[in-house]
Amino acid sequence: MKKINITFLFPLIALVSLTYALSSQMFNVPPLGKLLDPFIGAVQNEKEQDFSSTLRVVDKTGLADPVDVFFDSRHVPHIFARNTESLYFAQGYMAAYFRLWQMDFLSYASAGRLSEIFSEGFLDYDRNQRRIGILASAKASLEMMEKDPTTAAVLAAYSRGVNAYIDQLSDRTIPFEYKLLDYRPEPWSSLKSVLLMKYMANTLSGYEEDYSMSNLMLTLGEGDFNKLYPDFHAHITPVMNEAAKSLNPALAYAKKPDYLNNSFLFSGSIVPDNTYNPKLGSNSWAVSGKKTRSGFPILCSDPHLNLSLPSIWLEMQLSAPDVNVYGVSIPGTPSIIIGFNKDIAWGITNGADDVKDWYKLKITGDYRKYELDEKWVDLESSIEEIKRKGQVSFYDTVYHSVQGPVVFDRSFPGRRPEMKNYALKWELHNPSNEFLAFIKLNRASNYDEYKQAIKYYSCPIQNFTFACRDNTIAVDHQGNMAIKWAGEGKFILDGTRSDHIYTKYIPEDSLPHVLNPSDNFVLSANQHPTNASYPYYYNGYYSETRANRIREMLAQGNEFDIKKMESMQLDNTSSFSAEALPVLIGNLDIARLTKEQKEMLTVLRSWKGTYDLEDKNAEFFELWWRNIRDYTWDEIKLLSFSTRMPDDYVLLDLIQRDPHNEYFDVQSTSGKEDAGDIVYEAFVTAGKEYNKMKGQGMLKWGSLHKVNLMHLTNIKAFSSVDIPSAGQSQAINAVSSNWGPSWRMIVELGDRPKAFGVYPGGQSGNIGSRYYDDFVKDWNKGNYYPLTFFISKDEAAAQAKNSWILK
Amino acid sequence: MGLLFVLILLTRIPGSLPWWTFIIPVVILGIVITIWKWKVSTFAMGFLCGFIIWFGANLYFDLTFNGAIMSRIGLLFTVPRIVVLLLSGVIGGVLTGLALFTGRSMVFRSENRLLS
Repeated sequence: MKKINITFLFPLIALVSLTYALSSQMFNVPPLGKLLDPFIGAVQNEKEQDFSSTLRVVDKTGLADPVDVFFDSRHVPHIFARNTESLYFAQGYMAAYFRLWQMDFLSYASAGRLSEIFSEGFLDYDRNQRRIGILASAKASLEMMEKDPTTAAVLAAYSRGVNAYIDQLSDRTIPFEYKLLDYRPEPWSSLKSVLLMKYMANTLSGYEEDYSMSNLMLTLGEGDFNKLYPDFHAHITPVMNEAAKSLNPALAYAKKPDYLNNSFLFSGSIVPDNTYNPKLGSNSWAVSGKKTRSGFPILCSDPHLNLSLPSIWLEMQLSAPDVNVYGVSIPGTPSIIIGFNKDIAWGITNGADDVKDWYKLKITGDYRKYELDEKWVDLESSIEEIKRKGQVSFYDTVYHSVQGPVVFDRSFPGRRPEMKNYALKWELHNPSNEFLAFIKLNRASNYDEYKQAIKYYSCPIQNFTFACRDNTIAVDHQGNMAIKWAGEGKFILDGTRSDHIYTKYIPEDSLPHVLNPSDNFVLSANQHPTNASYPYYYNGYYSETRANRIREMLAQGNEFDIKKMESMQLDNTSSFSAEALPVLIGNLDIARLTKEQKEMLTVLRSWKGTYDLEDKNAEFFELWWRNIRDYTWDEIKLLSFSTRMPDDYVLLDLIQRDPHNEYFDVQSTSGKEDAGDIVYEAFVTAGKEYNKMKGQGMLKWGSLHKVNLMHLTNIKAFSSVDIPSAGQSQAINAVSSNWGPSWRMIVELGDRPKAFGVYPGGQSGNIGSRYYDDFVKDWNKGNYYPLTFFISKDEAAAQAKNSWILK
Repeated sequence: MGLLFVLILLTRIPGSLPWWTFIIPVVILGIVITIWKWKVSTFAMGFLCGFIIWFGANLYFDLTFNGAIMSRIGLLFTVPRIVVLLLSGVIGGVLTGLALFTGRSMVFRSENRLLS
């Protein structure tokens, strides 16, 4: 027996340390040993699921009845179940099969738990998420949902389905991102589904501009404020467009509230840019059979969201004895969110109302009390534990007043340090059960059932467009709209007064809505829900250009069919640009132009406001208008707080009707300019910039206008970037750098619904799969896929490419 | 060398054990080799074997499954895909070579004078 030797210690220690280093995430480098191991590492995720077999049994799910899942050639699952419980179980299982990492990751992001995945860099993000109340709101809503037996059962079945999928994963088969980021999927729960709903609600209702509006009112004064930032201007196409009887003075003109003065608002520090995007909108319209070739109604819906890979949407069909519906779902949540069944079709656009308000509090130095109606009231607090990977948890104390959480305080200046000690009142904080709305809507077969379903929908306020095969069309501005006094919520509110807290809501039957209008179409595109005669005060962040264009096209057209609707959804014309160009040319002093500039003008004259891929004039107009905007609003830019510029229509109106307005005077020059000077100078500068681009060969709109579909981790290698794209944020085809139509759907109802759709992405969330981004090219080119809607299981079995049985 | 291949593959194919378990039988083999006084350069042989298995298997799986992950990892580190595969080979090689060498150095041989 030879003696054991201690020199082995050195290589042994080296071996052990190296193994350990390759197994763990160190300094942001993924665990290379685990990741690159050929037997369980990344390369194993390249294996496509075996779809060549026509029959596949997935065991041990604990289901009472088996479920059939049929796949068509695009990998869309058509789920046929025998009862409700197994239907939602299967939906959960399939969602996890396609997109487990995405839905798991989003639930962490929504709850402010990213520090558990990334050891550093996300503490502030997590603190912000907790403080704005997302997690607390999700818990409150879940409590409410579990009191409703239908919702509770559906959520529970869905979670069981997801967990059945997770349970059969091994080291080898867990999704790639888990291997890269070195963590494992956690069990799914109903709370996580709710968190995903709140994530969407946050995206859609998180925008507000109360602080900058307050500053603008104080700085500009009431007169100029209403001129530059009116609530209503003339170029609107409201959703509910009844003849304006008498104007509601609160809507027509914003009076400066008495409490809003300079001592109330400390307009000192620079405000960093708000990261939300008010243009995050959508289009949806429906045309009655009286205007279509088939005699049946057609509904179109294209929601605009941040474009990501994988897409937020997952196509599928759900069928059980009491329901048969097709459309897109959000992985992690049950039901179909936008879609159709054999009787009805529906679409959704963002309501764009202001449902998020800030209250300036007076708090004692020790954060124990705050002032309310001249009394000192206890300030409540709660502690949020933020777990962190590889470190001790962080405990954040969050204070609450009766209005809501105090987001920014002395321990957390966050992104808005000037809003220190302001409480946040947000409709999202009120418990609500949106799931029930969708569960019922999926099963609705006529207008009444649709109304019964959407009444459960409260936040964020959305416009639902509706079409039924009996030729009913409708649009409803649906959600909790608070009853507010004139101007309430448009500016920062006084937290020391309880009469600034709104508690009542506009009754359901008074919400803006349209049913079977005489012009036989309805539309919504984030525009004003009403005109200025609506009896209740409200404010929001509306876009009018797309609605104007849609209305124009629907009013003029007739004999609509699916092809016409496709070209509408893909329409690249901005009605604003089309309207503005002749106005600008009319105000341009042509005599001052050089010969070369006159030639450029002649070419531009023929432009119709279209932003097609090959268009060479679009960029010129963009440069010209941008310069006009910059020169005119230089005073606004000089303000000590950051704010958005006045609406483009406001500027256009000023040029046409008030060309000698003082805002046209450029501050940095000694002379006094008017609109004509601005238009001329802007044209000349634009011409120079345009020529430079011509020299570089970069004139076509497609080479300048690129869209990016980012992976959720923002890693470029996993994304599709720099895709040349037509469209513009004001056109119906509202594609723009990181956002755009995340789903395009057209449904013609009838004896059998005929539907077409496409989204930028692919069914699979696995970046190694062929189906990760196989729809992107077609989406970008404007192609649509026919959506296969099976009326019965036999039909599915006969036509599907392959199928599974879950049992 | 064939023995080494077999040992490693045996521990890896089942896939139910942690990825690094192949190291243990390799260390034991290192001990056994030295006791039997086989004349082999342990680190080199271990490296070669580990490299071939890791690089080879990754390449095989990448080609048969025809997926995009290895190329995307390559994009992530701004290197071509082949570099990622070679890197995996290097990792496998170093670990196997080091394990074999550790095994050898655990056995007292007359050439090692440290303790005497």
